Amino acid sequence: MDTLTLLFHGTQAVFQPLNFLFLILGCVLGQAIGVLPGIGSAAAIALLIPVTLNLSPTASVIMLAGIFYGTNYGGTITSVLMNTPGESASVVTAIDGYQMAKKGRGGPALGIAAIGSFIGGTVGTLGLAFGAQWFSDTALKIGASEYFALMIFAVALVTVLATGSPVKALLMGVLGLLIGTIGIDPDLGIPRFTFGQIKLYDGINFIAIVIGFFGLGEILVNIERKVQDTIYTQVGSVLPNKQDLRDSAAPIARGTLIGFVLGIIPGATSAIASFLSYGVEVNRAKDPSRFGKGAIEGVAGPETANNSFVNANFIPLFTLGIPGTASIAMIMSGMMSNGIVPGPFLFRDNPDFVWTVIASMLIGQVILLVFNLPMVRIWVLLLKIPYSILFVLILEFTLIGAYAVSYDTFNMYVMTISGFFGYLFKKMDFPATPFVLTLVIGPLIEKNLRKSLEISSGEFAIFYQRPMTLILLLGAAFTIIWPVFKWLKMRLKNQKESSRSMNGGA
Amino acid sequence: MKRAENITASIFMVLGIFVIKGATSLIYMTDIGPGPGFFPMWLGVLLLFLGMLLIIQNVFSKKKAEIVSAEPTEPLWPGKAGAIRVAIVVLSLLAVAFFISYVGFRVAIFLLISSLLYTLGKQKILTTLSVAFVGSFGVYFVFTHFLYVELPKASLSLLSALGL
Amino acid sequence: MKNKFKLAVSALSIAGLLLNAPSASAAVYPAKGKTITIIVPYDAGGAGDIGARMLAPYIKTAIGATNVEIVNKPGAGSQVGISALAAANPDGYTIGFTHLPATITTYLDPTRAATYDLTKLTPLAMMVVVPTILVVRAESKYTSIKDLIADAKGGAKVTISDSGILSDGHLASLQLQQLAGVKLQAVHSTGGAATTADVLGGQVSAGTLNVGGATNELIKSGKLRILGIFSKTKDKTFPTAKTAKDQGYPIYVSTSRAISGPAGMSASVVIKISSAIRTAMLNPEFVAKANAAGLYLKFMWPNQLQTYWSEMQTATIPLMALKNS
Repeated sequence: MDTLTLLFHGTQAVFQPLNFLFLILGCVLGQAIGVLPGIGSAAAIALLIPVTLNLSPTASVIMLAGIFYGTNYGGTITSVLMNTPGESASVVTAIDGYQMAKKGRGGPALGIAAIGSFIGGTVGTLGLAFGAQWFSDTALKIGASEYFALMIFAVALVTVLATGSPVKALLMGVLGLLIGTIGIDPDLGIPRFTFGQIKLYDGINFIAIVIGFFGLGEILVNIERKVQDTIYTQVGSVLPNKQDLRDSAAPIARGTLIGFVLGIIPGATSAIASFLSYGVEVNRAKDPSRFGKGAIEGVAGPETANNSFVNANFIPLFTLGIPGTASIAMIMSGMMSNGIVPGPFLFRDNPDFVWTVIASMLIGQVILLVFNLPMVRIWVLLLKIPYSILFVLILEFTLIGAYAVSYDTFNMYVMTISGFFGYLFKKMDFPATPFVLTLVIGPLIEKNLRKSLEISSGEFAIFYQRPMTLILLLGAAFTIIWPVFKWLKMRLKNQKESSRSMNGGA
Repeated sequence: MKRAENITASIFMVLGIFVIKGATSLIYMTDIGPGPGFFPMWLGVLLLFLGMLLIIQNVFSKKKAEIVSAEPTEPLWPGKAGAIRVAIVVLSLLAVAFFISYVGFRVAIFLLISSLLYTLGKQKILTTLSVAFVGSFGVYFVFTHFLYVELPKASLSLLSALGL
Repeated sequence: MKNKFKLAVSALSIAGLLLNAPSASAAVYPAKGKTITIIVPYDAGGAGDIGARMLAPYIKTAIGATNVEIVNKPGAGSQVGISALAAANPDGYTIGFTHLPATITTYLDPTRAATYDLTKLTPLAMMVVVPTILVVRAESKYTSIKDLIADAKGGAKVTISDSGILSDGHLASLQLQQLAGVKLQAVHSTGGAATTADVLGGQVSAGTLNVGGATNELIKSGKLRILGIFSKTKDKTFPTAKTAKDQGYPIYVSTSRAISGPAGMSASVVIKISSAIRTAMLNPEFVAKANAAGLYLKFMWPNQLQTYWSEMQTATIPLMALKNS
């Protein structure tokens, strides 16, 4: 039976009452969990696994999957409206999305995010449907050295065009790397900078830091000036206009590709996909200085990337039983608790299950798009609440989010202190983006560097003998050298011109 | 701005020194590559170096054009009122974190919302109390009953006897 | 006549009251209304959590408790949860999962500064034991451990992926290095999934995994090949796979889920708990669920577990010094 027929049968099965009910339930729950900062899909899925034991395996996984990709739709909302990312994947969206909201363009930001998410999610699922085996086999060829090079490339893309003082950007980047080293060394298991506290053995939680740094930091900056009611300029159109759609088309396409490629590699996270997309967009833009001030490409690309990532994540799970991220590992637990073991025989032995779930993912994207677009109006209404009341509610949100990370008040302290520093740094014009980027990517860079050397038994040659690694590293080098080269050229040109004019023209 | 930056830069430099010191107690290199001490060591060095660079830049940059940001320029340091507002928020959040395990979520958040709305938000009593009630008891209800998120309960016997 | 009858009834009821009254005797464990808490030192839905949640209701029935509750205390690779367990009141109302060898390697590692060790815990019962295996991918030229060792002796750089430093797989490859007298480079990945990806992708020569779950599917489909099983007996699912011992390397490594309590529990409570766990594990409904989820059930009584644990500890101590190689 060919794929289309199988998919058709699967779609029919999705519309069976029980399956459809749980699809909607999963999508709505996922959306809700995405909106709430601090509570991730992994935790939610884990909590619901016992509930699923009373359902058919198909309905269970339809729901759990809905939660998984639904959270990526929801996480955008608090990022854009309150600068408080609900998920690590939505952190990047806050950078430009919130600035758009402040300029009265929150609606278009949310709208484009929903559209991009839909496209990304659908393409990701289609990839799963039509090419799962080929994609997972190809993805396996990507090893630690390629991963390392890719991360370096991502860092180069994002930090090179940081507006403002490069020294400050680098300092923030180094700070992020440093905080990332706190905890048990990922390779040899030795605690670093933990001062003997087991709470620090797993490092300082990223979400707690980011909720504070971005969300609380923003509030402190605002109320320091004055507790006024008009933080957000009048809301203009609530949905993206034609220009927005035109501007976002290419970023969405690129974001889909980036998210998908990272999604099929076990070990990536959606945060990395969105950062990489952001970096690519910054580099491809004609006027990079628009980023950080409300460039819609900075929302369109990353939001698409994290949705296509999430759906592509199912590929290694279904074909080889390899869960690429924590949330997918939970879904795998859910499958196995229900008696279905993923692996090479999944498509062969459980075709009904597989194709119904895949079809449900496609329909789920539609459900979420249809749900989210009209909801944009309602979310944007939230901005009409006077800031003098809203800010306190956002504070409550940040506290709940920080607590929910580990059900421990420790992260509330982390969040508050990060917020205070976020405020200070923002006032002094130290950019947040490099800090957050290295916080996410730093540990992975180190881990993969050291793992690459283990694989090569200490030979550095691994970094130039493997073609993919070499290409990516050269790309990173180029990304750094090219702007410096251009700057030098411009300096020389200016000097020549000024000396020419001093000599009275030539 | 410059003075603030210089102070920050110096703090970074001091941090760098501490980091280098901490890194020396870790293994720098193993037979096959960098050990746990490698990265922290170089990060510390970078902090030191970049901090110094920032200070030097500030000392010599009198002629450099200032990078115009899109934000309206305004005095860097808050007046006393602004600083107090910031301090109030930060301290009240820390207080919540500290007391929440004793008085429970509902009481702590009720107090937080009502005090901030009344003092900083300058809201009327009725608005304050109703928002505070919904924000604490209402939110607690939604989270624990619909979202399976367990928010902290009171541990002081008096309060837990009240069901808090 | 009526009076004597009344007397008898009151005597019996008083006797009944006395027998049920709370007393110092452990016969009243578990007390009515009290909850037995089982600490799982990992994230909800993570390693061991699903199995624990599956087992909990059967323990409740077997032991006759009012409530048996799972509490997740993740962090620091089980160190947070087990620290809490060791510090708990040894009255039998707090027990928890202590996975091996993770628990052992944590307290043997001085840099981890663990507040517990075997003397601060009471082993109660073993629930799951999963043997560790050495696998290669289908395209690999190795068909036995001998091939791998020969290749290494010949000077080739042989890399073995494990799921983390001092994981069961790493301990196995360290012992293999010692016995074979040859250098095998350990590649530490972040877990079984990453190791599987490493092996399938040809990034490493071989990898150490555990039987069960998705790994079995990969072996059955031929994508992975078992070079050796590090256990005393062959595996039922893969009867043709040789043990390491049969190939000349007596290495016994597994990952297991033991249930323990804090030190100082009374003997009668220990017996009650371990018997209840055994009853629960023999329940056919539970066994069916466990098999469907791919759990390798194996029960051990407290003294058997104590022996198993001490032996593993003794074997692990000399390997700790090698951890950086």
